[in-house]
Amino acid sequence: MARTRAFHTSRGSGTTGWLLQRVSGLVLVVLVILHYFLMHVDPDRGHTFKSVYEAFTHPVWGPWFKTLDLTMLALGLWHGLNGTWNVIRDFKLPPIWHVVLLGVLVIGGVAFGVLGVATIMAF
Amino acid sequence: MSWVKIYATYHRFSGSWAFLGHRLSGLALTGYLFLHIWTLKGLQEKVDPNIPLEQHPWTEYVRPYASGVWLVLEWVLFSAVLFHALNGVRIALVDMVAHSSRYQKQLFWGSVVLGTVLFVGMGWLILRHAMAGA
Repeated sequence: MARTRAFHTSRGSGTTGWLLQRVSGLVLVVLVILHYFLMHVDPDRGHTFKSVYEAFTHPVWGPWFKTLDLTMLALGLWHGLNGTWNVIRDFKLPPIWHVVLLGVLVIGGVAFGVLGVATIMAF
Repeated sequence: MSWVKIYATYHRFSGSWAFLGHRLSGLALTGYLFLHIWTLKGLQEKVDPNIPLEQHPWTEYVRPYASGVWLVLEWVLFSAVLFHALNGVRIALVDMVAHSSRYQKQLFWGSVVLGTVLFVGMGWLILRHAMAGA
């Protein structure tokens, strides 16, 4: 019975990760190109403290810029690290390497996620 | 070195180059994301009310990277973003839209044209002030 259920449902087959990878990717296509545009539409934008401070503390747009950057941070880290994990898995390394590398990806992702959120929320 | 042999022989004319390019650009962009988060951490330094915003230490720290060859590298990085983004959209379309694989040649050339337009446009956006000031 358990075997049949495992076969007929997507749990454990990697479908959730695949779907999240695709959805996050399609959202990031829009967000990252928009980010590139916003950061270069003016030479100071994103390249001086003053411009970053004024964007994040803007009474109307500030919360939107923070939301945009927090979303990009979360989706970017997830998409990048899940993609890296997919590449690593394809090499079919010994299981101990999988444990070590997955640990590095998860700890690195959490640490840099916390660092990124701290930077955005410092404003 | 069997993978060298594989890429040098029968995979040469298939979409395998796109597959390899997608993985390499993805890994590069993930590496850049970590670098990007790290270099922005100086923004957390508290604003001193006695010192104007223009003199915040992060501005000094980032100044070299906001000019010259670093701007060009930022533009080069955008080519990795565009390749990964457009190839990703192509993969999603071929996967999810019925009969779209029949149009894969058009999809390929369409993304080359769109990518070139966006790349040149972004080059102008990034470099126009540097070129005007030079």
